Amino acid sequence: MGRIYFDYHSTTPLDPRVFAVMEPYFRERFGNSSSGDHAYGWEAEEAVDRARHQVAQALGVEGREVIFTSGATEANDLAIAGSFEAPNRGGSHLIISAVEHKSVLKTAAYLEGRGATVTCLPVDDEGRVRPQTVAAAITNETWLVSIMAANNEIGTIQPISEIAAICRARGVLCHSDAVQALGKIPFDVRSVGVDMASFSAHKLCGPKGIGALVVTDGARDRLVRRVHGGNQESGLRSGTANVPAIVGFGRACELAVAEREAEAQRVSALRDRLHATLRAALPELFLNGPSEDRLPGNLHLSFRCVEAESLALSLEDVAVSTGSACTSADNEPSHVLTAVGRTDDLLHGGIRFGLGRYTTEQETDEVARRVIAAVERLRSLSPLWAQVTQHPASP
Amino acid sequence: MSQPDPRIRSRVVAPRFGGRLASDFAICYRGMAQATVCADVTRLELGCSDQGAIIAARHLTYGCPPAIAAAEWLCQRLEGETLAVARNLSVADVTAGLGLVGVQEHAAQTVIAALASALPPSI
Repeated sequence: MGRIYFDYHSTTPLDPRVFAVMEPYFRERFGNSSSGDHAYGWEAEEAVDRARHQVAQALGVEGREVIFTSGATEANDLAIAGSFEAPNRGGSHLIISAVEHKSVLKTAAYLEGRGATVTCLPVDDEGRVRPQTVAAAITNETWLVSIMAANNEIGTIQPISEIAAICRARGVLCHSDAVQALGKIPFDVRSVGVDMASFSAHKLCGPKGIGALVVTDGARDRLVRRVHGGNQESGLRSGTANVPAIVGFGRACELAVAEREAEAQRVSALRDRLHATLRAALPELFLNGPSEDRLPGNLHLSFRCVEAESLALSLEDVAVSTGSACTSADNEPSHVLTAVGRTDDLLHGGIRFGLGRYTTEQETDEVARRVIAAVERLRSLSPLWAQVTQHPASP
Repeated sequence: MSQPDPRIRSRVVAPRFGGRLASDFAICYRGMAQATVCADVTRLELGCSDQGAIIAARHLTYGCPPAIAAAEWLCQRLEGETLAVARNLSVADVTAGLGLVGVQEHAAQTVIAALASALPPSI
């Protein structure tokens, strides 16, 4: 067996059905969707409109509420910084959680340097934001609460509907980075009740370089553009539309929603199979994140006395993800594992297995085999392991 | 994690000097050190002859790929050398031997500290 991809939270392979609808827009249908004077422009515009409708349908909103961006990082920036810069925002207090994606954390830090005050909410030991902590943190100065729908590292699904209801009752804007939710768990923007939500195509077997911010009608006048220029995307995001990618995003959304339920069942069964095999073979293995209510393809484990990067490197030709460690440039362990209270070798030993659309049972069993062999080898090298097996400690 | 140097990768994937020494050496020196910037730990054992030659070197290491690779590199470098040569090995030697860069250099510091703690003060 060759290379095995178990990093679906990072990115996903492009579905051939998605590529098929994109291809003509790289070649013969290359027009600019803003060129209103000829057929090239018209057919591009038509394609963008069609894709916008597909995305909107998948998310339970109207087409006019979908703002295409270059991806979720830009969508998060537009939601957070764009609402901060709106003249009618009211206060300067922002609420986020400790387990948000870096694109939210860094945008919040950027705004702190421009006069915003930021409350970063703690999470419980499964990575969940408690709605009551959101309610307690909201002040008269709060203009926005931004909490992710599902965590990209440990797969925790947040009680985002409850959080959105609290925000609505208090008259505070609510945004959710829902990148990991789309196509994995039900996420209808209107039902969830958030004012804004960010999405990205490449997390659901669509192309890279395209995403969207859903801005519901009620939030439209509380946001200003971050990219200046033409009047594309209802004046909220200037720049020539990336037509092939938008077309692909539309199709990817359609497929992800249509196949979500069956895929979630299949992938979570493979995930559970991997977990059970590893648990049966390896002592001192700890699940990070919740045992229930987690993303279907997410398994995040810490192996006592095994450093994550060494394990990842030892799993030759298996693509998994570590939460960053001492050889990365910032020399910091995962902020998510830190937030859920992991310490010592469990903090440095976290590995994320991300299963997805093309993961097979055969691959899952092969990954389990390689992980068991690598963990046993690394533990045999570890000066800490003999001590731990004599005196096992709780995480 | 960016793509590791092949010198690091090969030593992590197939370590040759991991484990404990057999007990049939005239003299055995042991040392241990922990990285100052992270949780990496190396325990080093040197099996020597009466004349001060290092016959075998073994390590137990918990840590990142550079940490394991550094311990492997050091053990390979030490075998067949004298204790005096061992004393002169430096962080720069390990860094150069493995192509460690930036924050990876902590791995070289840890194994050289383990070596220093293993060697008798009289060498």
